[in-house]
Amino acid sequence: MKNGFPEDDTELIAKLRDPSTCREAFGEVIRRYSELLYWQIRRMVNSHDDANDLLQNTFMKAWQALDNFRGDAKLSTWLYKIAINESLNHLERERRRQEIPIDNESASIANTIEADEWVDGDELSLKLRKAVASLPEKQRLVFNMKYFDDMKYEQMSEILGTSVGALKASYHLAVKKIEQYLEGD
Amino acid sequence: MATKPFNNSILDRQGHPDGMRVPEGYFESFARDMMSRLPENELEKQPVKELTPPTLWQRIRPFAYMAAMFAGIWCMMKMFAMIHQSTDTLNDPTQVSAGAFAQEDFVFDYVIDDYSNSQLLDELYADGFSADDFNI
Repeated sequence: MKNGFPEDDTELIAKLRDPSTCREAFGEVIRRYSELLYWQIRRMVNSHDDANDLLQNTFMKAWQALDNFRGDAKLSTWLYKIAINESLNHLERERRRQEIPIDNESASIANTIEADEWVDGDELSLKLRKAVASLPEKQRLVFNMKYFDDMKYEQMSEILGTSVGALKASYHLAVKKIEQYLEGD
Repeated sequence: MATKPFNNSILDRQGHPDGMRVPEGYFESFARDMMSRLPENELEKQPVKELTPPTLWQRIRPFAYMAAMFAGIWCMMKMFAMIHQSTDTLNDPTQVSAGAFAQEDFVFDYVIDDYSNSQLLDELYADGFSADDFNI
């Protein structure tokens, strides 16, 4: 299940707030959202092992912060925010660790993509991943959410804290860049 | 992997997945492993409120309060009725007169005697006697 968001989490949220049922309900949260979040993280970090670690961190942080979750936002939005923060923090840490200049990040990501063993090994898909990796981080997020997850702009706006108009413009630019990348190769 | 189509775009023409995959049964085992690793969180640390059975007084308290309220209302109404009744008695001249005429002494002292004397005098005057005859 890479696409398709659970629409109604009301009952699940009620169980998450109850100390006697929160653990069992969190198990359902993991089953319901692990795949969606995994692919979002994986497309950002381009490595299965890193994505696995970051997904664990995401759920661990959500579990620890469960008593702070008021249910004002959608459960999916809240989890996506945690996952995206984890991904961006990881990329920042890697940049610092490897002393990669921010303008040369795509080259480093391309190396990570080539080193990733959990791929089909198709040339075109590899090219697409490299094209996506050439985008700035925020634009990459927008492209991944729209192109791969077919997420609504309204939900993207809630998660990323950016207006719908700006997201549409960002996505349009991202598509143009990727097309140029793919045509130019 | 689902892809979003672009009209006449190279992305659309490629219609290509990103080629990423995961180990077999990864998500099932991830959920199991994750659950086994979850520590106790703040929500679980909160003490569970024990439900103690209510005492007899707690159970009958609403009824006792309601009964006291009705008793108070009944007492007030009774008191108002008594006050109203006594005020009516004092203010009713017929009842005062009836009470007075019921007393024999009052009738002899203030009614019969006075009436008898004046009647007697009237009759005596009618018979030709004057006040000088009686030295009054």
